[in-house]
Parts: sequence; structure tokens; C-alpha cells
Amino acid sequence: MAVPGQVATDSSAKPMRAARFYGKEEIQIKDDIPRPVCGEGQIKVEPAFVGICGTDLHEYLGGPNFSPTSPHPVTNEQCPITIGHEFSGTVKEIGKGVSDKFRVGQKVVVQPTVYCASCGACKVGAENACSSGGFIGLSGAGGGMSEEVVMPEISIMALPPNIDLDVGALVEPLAVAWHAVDASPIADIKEPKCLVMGGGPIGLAVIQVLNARGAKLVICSEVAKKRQEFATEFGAHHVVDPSKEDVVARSLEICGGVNGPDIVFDCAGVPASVKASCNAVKSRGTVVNVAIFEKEIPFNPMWLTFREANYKSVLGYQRKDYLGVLDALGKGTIKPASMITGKIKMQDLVKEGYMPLIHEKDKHVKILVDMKASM
Amino acid sequence: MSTQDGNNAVENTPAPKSDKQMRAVRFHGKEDLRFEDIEEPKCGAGQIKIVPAWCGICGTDLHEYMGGPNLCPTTPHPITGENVPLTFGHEFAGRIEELGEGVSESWKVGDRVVVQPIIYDGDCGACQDGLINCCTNNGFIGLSGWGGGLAEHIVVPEYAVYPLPNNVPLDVAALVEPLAVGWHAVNISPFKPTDSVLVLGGGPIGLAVVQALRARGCPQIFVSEVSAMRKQYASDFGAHIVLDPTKEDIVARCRELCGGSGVHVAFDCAGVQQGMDQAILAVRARGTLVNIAIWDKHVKLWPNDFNFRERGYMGVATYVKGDYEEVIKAISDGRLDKCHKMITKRIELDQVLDEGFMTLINGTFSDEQNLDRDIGDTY
Ligand SMILES: NC(=O)c1ccc[n+]([C@@H]2O[C@H](COP(=O)([O-])OP(=O)(O)OC[C@H]3O[C@@H](n4cnc5c(N)ncnc54)[C@H](O)[C@@H]3O)[C@@H](O)[C@H]2O)c1
Ligand SMILES: [Zn+2]
Ligand SMILES: [Zn+2]
Ligand SMILES: [Zn+2]
Repeated sequence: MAVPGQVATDSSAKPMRAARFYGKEEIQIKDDIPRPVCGEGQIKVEPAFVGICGTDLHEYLGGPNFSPTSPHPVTNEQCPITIGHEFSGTVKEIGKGVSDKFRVGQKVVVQPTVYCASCGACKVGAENACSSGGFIGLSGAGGGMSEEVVMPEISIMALPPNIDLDVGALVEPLAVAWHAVDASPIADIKEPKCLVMGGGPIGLAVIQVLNARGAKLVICSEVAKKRQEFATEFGAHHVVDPSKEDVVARSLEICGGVNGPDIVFDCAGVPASVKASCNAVKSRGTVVNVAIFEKEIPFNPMWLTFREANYKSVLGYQRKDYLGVLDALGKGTIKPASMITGKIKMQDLVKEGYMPLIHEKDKHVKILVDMKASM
Repeated sequence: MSTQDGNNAVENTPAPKSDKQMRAVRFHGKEDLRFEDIEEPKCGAGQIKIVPAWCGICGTDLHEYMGGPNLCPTTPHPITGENVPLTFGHEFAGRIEELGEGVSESWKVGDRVVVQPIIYDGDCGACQDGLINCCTNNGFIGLSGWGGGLAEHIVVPEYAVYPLPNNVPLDVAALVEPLAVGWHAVNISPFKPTDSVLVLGGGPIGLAVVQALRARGCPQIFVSEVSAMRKQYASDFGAHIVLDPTKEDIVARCRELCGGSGVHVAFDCAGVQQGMDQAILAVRARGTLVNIAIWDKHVKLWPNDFNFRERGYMGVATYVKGDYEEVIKAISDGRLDKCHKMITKRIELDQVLDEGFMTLINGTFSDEQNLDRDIGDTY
């Protein structure tokens, strides 16, 4: 089987254009990147829209953290690497042995997960927890901000016909949310009441997925004014401002005063949100941590112990989560188009993409790079 | 038995006062434990009066004695209305001496019983969900009022009393409380009978977890413990492999013993930062670390250790309805056949401070579960 994140290149073919990450504050648009070869069981995709994500910004501002500085165990690549892990595109070439579900020109999305397909986690289908895992666009083997990407058939999924390619670039952050909601006990709870900490792109994606998955009540805690408005727009029934109100007391009150929320999603990732999440959740409830942290945080096991609450962390997504989001998009139970707050060309990546996301964070949810317009 | 729905206002009425006196071990404050005469309680409606036979001294008692009052209220407890000084003893069994008006016909004077010490209001959100152990007003008989097992008599609501089968002796029944803590933790953890498990700490609670795991046929029980005596106990009670964190790399050993991936579940019965750090990494992808330990400080947590392997963390607190019955049954049918070995010393009520607390604190005898002999024999 073709391993996601292992791809051959053709040095005799005309090189291609790509945005490359070299290290802290260094991104270059290059025209001499070797083209990937579409081998057996693989599909070649021509990227259409690529989202810029918080992780990309992190790498730019303080990295390389996630991006490998020695050969990655699966991709065998290290910085510089091609950027872009949230993307849609069209099928450009179909490798030998690929099923007949795919045709050239078809609109697709790419699950960027890189995994070894042989470790303990991979063997039980938890490819997202692979011990040598990664993502194309962060760990090598190409990325969305290039002319061509090659991945195995299993990583490529069709976009519903009624969904545009720009919305297709939102499937990745929505899949993070889908995976988080799927990992929570939502399916076992009658009329689930949920609290989402943080109204950034991931928090907003969680709010939408919760509504699509039948949450009775969704509360969002967010400090930034503009993001509070986004939270309401995407379906939060109540918005709490943690800089002005006591989130724990307010969420208990909103939930009816007897028990706090059944599930809390931490999409803020600051010490204050961890503490508030653990203290807000009801007895035997679950805190799902989606956030990635930069340093150790103070934590008190007693926050959970006296109420027998659960804390679990999730990472990335699995194929089932991509399929879940694509199905919801097709049915219209998730309508995320207004998450797109800007579209830019690849040549303006830092100036018009990274900078506004860093300096005017509140105003934006997702800025997409329009690849067709960039070539 | 009491109603599980609706509040416990009636059941939780304090026992009526009497003019008789009895002997009791009472906690007055830090390092102030007194063996003294106090008023003997009368048996009110819906209540059962018991003569305690055997009562265990627990780590929580020692904690209160050495550094408390922490758990023991210094202002009136919301349910019992009492505060220090309070009678100690929450791990005890005894015989029924009197039945209050209106209790079930199934009880008889002389019955051998064990007391489940959780005090709960019955109407908070947690109680409405059946989680009396998470009650926002909860307390414990023997720590929060209503007397305790270290006294000549005690009166408790009927809901706290559980009958003992004939083959469960009263001294062993005093172990039901700590065993129920371990039993409950295993019950609500994601443990499945084929899983590999790491237990941090070989104290009474760690050993209770080991026994509960053994009762369920766990094929791989690893215990991490530093003290030589406790390491020995851990293997006596059923640990398959005992690891020493001062000499071995716990994470590497757990992974190696589990085909490279790590244990499915770890139970933290130690409550130290270093142990927690090791246990997180010793757990495989999607595995769970279950905290039973009581921590008095914050820890440093690196949440990404959870993210990158999608590990989980959960807290467990004491026991709920059902756990006492299950433990009593497991003792009776032999699944907890080693538990009597947890009793390492027997003393009289007047020796509680000198022979009980001091022995446990100084570790001169062992730091195991101890029982205090009260009046009455064991069978
Ligand atoms: N687990 C995964 O697979 C995965 C995937 C992608 C992103 N992430 C992580 O998810 C997190 C959220 O991503 P994002 O792109 O939405 O980030 P973001 O920084 O844009 O959003 C976080 C939001 O939290 C708000 N906030 C700050 N303090 C708060 C508090 N005390 N209470 C409530 N809200 C508070 C901020 O104002 C901000 O709007 C990040 O840590 C990111 O690294 C995880
Ligand atoms: Zn991303
Ligand atoms: Zn793997
Ligand atoms: Zn209650």
C-alpha cells in the first residue's frame, strides 16, 4: 500500500512553483521544486484553495517546531518544506490500481495526515496518533501551496457536487472539530449541553459541528468582541466574556442551575481556559482538549477528581472525520462559507495572509490562498 | 432504605441527644486527638444504632491529624451541622444494637453490618444523577459529623448500613471501605479484562486497586513503588511485576512489557509529580490515566503529551451505591481472598493514638492498613 507522505519526484520534468518554509520568519516562493510522480495507488491533485492555519503562523513566528529539522521518519524530508495542509483541489492524474470512483477534473479534498501505516496506533486505525506521524504541508512530501500534490487514494475524498472548492479548503479545520466532537460522549447524552472555550477558527468549527450533531445548547466563551459576534453567527446560543464574567458560574446558570455543561471543548489553550473547563464541567462530564500548548501549565488533578470528570485530548482527525464533514456539507447541516474572511495570492502570503492573521487576529477566521490566481 | 430521588432532609436529621456518656476518639485540631467521654447518641426514626467492632485508620485520618483540619469542618457542615471536635473512624463494621422507628423489617438487632460513610444531600445536580460521591455538600461519617467508628456506639441513617454475609468476618468488613475505593476506580475506568495496567503506589489504595484488578483477571498488573516493604505487599496482593522508579525507567519498562506500546490504563495512587509524568508517557495511544490520589498542590502538566497520543485523564472519588455490595460479594465469594492480609496490627480503642496513629506515622511497624479493636469480638 502507498504510504501517505511517501512520494517520488521527477527531476527530468519541468519544476514547479511552491511556497516554502525555511525557518523562523523565512518563507520563499520558489519555482524550482521537483514535481511529484503519481505512482501506483496514488492520485495527483492540483490544489485550488489553501487555508492558512494557526500552526502555520506558529511555525513562522517561532519555528521550526513541528516542521522537521532532521529527516522526518516517513517523508524523509526536512526544512525547507512546502506549506499548506488545509486544501481542496481537482484531480489531475490517477495512478495505476486506483478505484474507478475518481476521474480527472473532479473536485476533491486531501486528508493531509502523514502516517507510517505499521505502528501500534496505525494498526488500530488511529492514524492521527501514529508514533511517526505528521502532515503534508508541515512535515514534507509536498503541500497545498504548490502546483501538484500526490497522495494515496485513501487520503483523497470527493467534494459533494454542490460544494465549491473554496469551502472545500475548510474541511480540514472542520474535521478537527468533527474528530473532537466524535471523541466526546455526545452520542450517549440526551439533549447535550456544551461549552466551547475560545472562538477562534477551531472553536467556531466546533460550534458548527455541535449544532450539526444535535447539541441542545452551545455556549461559547471568548474574550475578543469580533469573535464573540462570529460565535453567535455560527450558532452559539450564548456567548460569555471571561474577562467580564465568571464562566463557571454563568455556564451553570445557563444550563439551568442544577448541573454544568455535559461536555466542554477547550479550543483556547491558555491556563485560564483549562482551569475554567475543568471547573465548569458537570460531575462525570468530559473536557475535550483540542488546543495545543506551548508550555507546561499549572493543573490541579482535584479539579477533576472530586467530580469524577474526564479530560481527554484529541489530535487531528481520521478519514471517518473527513467523511463526516463532507456528508454534513452535502446535506447542508454545516454551512461554513462565511468562515472565509479573505482570499489572497500565494505571492502575497506573508504580507496579506500571515500579517493580518497575526496582527488583526480578531477580524479574521480563515484567509485562503487562491492557487489558480497565483500561477 | 432511603429514597435515592429527592432530598435526604428527613434521613439526614441528626441523632437525638441522650444523657448517657460513652468513650470516643475525637479530633480537636492539628496533633490533638483525645480519647474522651462524650454524649452517647440515641437512635431516632429511620436510623440504626451500631456497636462498632473493628475500625481502620486511614491516610486521611493521619493527614487531618498531622496537618488538619482540612476535610474536617471548622464551621458547621451543611448537612451534619457539626464541626471539630469530631469523632474519627470511617472504615468500620459492627453489630446492630437498636433499630429506629420506621426502618425496614429486614434488619434485626445483632445483625453484622458495615457502614458506607458517605453523607449526601440527595438533591444537588450530582445526587440527582446518582453520584452521591460527587455531592456538592458531601461529607463522611467519621470526618464530618454524626460520630465515627472509633467510639462505643454510633447512630447512622439506614441508607448507610449494608448487611454482611455469614462468611465475611467483622474485621475483614472494616476493609470494605478502602477496597471499595479501588473497586470503584476500576469500575468507572475504561479498563477491560484483557488490558495491561500500571498502578502508581503500593499503599492501601494502590493495593486495593491491585486486588480489584486481580479479581477481574487482569493479565498484566505492574506496580511502581519505592518502599521495599510496600513492593513486597504489591506482589503478595497480586502484582505481576513490581517496578522501582528510583532504579528503573518506568516508561521504557512499561512499553517493553507491552510489546512496545505501553499500558492501556494507569491508576495514580501516589499523587506525586514525577509519577504522574511517567504514567502519562507509560500509557499507550488512546489510553487513560486514572487519578485516585488526593493532591494538595498544583502540578505541572504538559497537555501536548495527551494530544499527540490522544490520551485521557480522569478523576475518581470514593464510591457510589452498588460498590459496597459488589465488594462484599467479592469478599464472600473469594475473588478478594487476599484482603485480610491488609490487616497488619490490632489494637484497643484506648491505644488509638499511641499504638495506631504513631505506628502509622513513624512507620515503625508498617504503613499498612491497621485496625482498631473496639469492644465486642469478631464473629
Ligand atoms: N488538536 C488538533 O488536532 C488541533 C488542530 C488545529 C488546531 N489546534 C489547536 O486548537 C487551538 C485553537 O485553534 P484556533 O486556530 O482557533 O486558535 P486561536 O488562537 O485563533 O483561538 C483561540 C481563541 O481563544 C480565545 N481565548 C483566549 N483566552 C480565553 C479564555 N480565558 N477563555 C475563553 N477564550 C479565550 C482567544 O481570544 C481566541 O479567539 C490552538 O491551540 C491550536 O493549536 C488543534
Ligand atoms: Zn491547520
Ligand atoms: Zn504509524
Ligand atoms: Zn448532593
